[in-house]
Amino acid sequence: MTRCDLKDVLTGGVLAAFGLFVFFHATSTLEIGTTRQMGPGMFPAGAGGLLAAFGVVITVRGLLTRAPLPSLDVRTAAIILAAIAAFALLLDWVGLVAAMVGMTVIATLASERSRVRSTLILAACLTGLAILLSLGLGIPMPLFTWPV
Amino acid sequence: MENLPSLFANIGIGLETALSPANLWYCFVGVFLGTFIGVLPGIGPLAAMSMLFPITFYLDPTSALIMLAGIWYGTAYGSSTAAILINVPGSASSAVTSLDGYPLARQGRAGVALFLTAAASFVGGSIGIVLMMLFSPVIVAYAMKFGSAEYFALMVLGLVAASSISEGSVLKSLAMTLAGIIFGTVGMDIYTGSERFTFGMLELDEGIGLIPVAMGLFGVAEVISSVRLPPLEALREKVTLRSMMPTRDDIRRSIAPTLRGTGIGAFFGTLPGTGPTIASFLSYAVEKRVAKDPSRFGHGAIEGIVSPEAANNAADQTAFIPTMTLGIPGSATMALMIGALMIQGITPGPEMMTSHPDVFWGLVMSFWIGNVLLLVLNVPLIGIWVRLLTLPYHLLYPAILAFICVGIFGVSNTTFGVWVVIFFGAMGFLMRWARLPAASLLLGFVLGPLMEQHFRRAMAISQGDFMTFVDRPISLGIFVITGCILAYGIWLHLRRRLG
Repeated sequence: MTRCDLKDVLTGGVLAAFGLFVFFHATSTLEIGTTRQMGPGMFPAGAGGLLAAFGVVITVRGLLTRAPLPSLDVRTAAIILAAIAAFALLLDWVGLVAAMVGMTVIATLASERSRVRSTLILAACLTGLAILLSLGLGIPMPLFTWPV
Repeated sequence: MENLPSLFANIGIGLETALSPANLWYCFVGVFLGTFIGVLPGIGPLAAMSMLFPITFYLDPTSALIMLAGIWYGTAYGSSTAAILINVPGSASSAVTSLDGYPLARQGRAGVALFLTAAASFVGGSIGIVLMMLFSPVIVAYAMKFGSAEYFALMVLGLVAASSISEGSVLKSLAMTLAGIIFGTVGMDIYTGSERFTFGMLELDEGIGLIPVAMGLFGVAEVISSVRLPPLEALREKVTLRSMMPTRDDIRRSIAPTLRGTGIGAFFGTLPGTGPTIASFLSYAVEKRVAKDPSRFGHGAIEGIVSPEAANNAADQTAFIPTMTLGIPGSATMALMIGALMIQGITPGPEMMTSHPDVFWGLVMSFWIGNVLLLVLNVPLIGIWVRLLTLPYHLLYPAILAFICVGIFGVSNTTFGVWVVIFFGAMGFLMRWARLPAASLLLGFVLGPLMEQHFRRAMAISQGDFMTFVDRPISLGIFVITGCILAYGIWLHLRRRLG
């Protein structure tokens, strides 16, 4: 595993794939035009192609260097992103109060220092803060809605 | 000096704008919130700005800009407070301050260090502001002659310089800039009205919003990587007003380094890609070089904190010169400023100075007021900041997330924006792992659409002839400089790798 910089090999690969996707998507669905009268596809296609080239260079460089693979804290990332997703889903479904409580409870799962009591107090405070913010800025967020 | 009367007239316009009760209030709010968030552990200036961005959305352009700028230099001050008191700098530019600031605090001289930091920042900031007032009109007068080819060249220069000089891999920075440019093309093409990369999602017609991108890349990604931060050990002793009084010797030692730091900071602030961080590191190195007794550095040398602080504040201010006069941001922070203006329907650039003089001069004058406020605010409030430093992060991060969620919904009024935040949050998390700089992506994202516009216009004017970028002397000159910077960046990088 230490024979190459696996992180950079992967990174370069992903960037190259993304660049190629952009290039082909732009050239196949958008008009390229001429240099005098450029179409909507030319600029993105150019950027995509260039990015793909960079990706290849990063991969090649990664194959030639040695570096340990850094660890990836997927659990924390998943919990935090799930908390935000819960906010989006619950807000549309049952309203702001439930969305804030749900977001806070899920988010606190990410830290081992969280306790049930502090989580509940925090959820109450943040819900209050969110209500104040939405009223103060005039954001149209219903506090409660009935799921249909 | 025939420009002098108009300069005074402009200062008048600026003062009138900045001293209006509303703008004064937003300046105060910005500086206060900025300092507040700056001292909190685990939140950098970019995260702070993107978190509070939605509030500015509800203000008029001048107030929005004044408040964002206040947040920015407020966080800079807050993070140097954290650097001195607990050796945890909140941002890269105050990392140098902890080298000598923390030893000073350990010697019981935290108060003096904090006071001199504030004073040096004030001097550096003030001189930076004066330079901005003097040079901006000159640059604008010159920039009026620029056509699309020159603007395109300048933007390429800005992006390449920002990628080449930043720490880390030049290749990765450039790749991220390109990725940012690609994300910037999403939405309806302004010339033809055809949809690009929207995949049938109507919400993407107007493009991806700057706010959710910044919130995801900086706010959410930063939360994810700081959740497991260990709780911080705070300084026990109290910082009293009396303990902040510097001795005569301290003051005597500070004057020359403050001025040197200001000079270095003012110069590097204007260059794309360098900015406050490089300025503060460099000024520390210079002080160490000119000092009679360099061994004191690292053990609480006053010169070691005042010079970098003056430098990073001067750079903070002069960074606005290219941003406001040419519309070309040199850093991700400045890109956010430009983004804030564009959301408000104002395109920064030389025309802005003539069509919206109140925005520009109001902002400049608000810098003064903000810097005074910082000084006034921080001396009595230092006790509160010290207590904030010990706030446990496991109570803090859900609050940050709450702010992000409500804020983003408030900007778009649909949950679609929240999903965009999640997408870019995940991306920011993976990018940190892959050591891909998110700042470059943001810079490309903001500049991309402008670059495309100027590129297409320049090509249309030249009838499709690429030579237009080389035939025009200014454009050619800018491309030559760009090439040199790129070569220098690659050379630096190779040298670091091989040796």
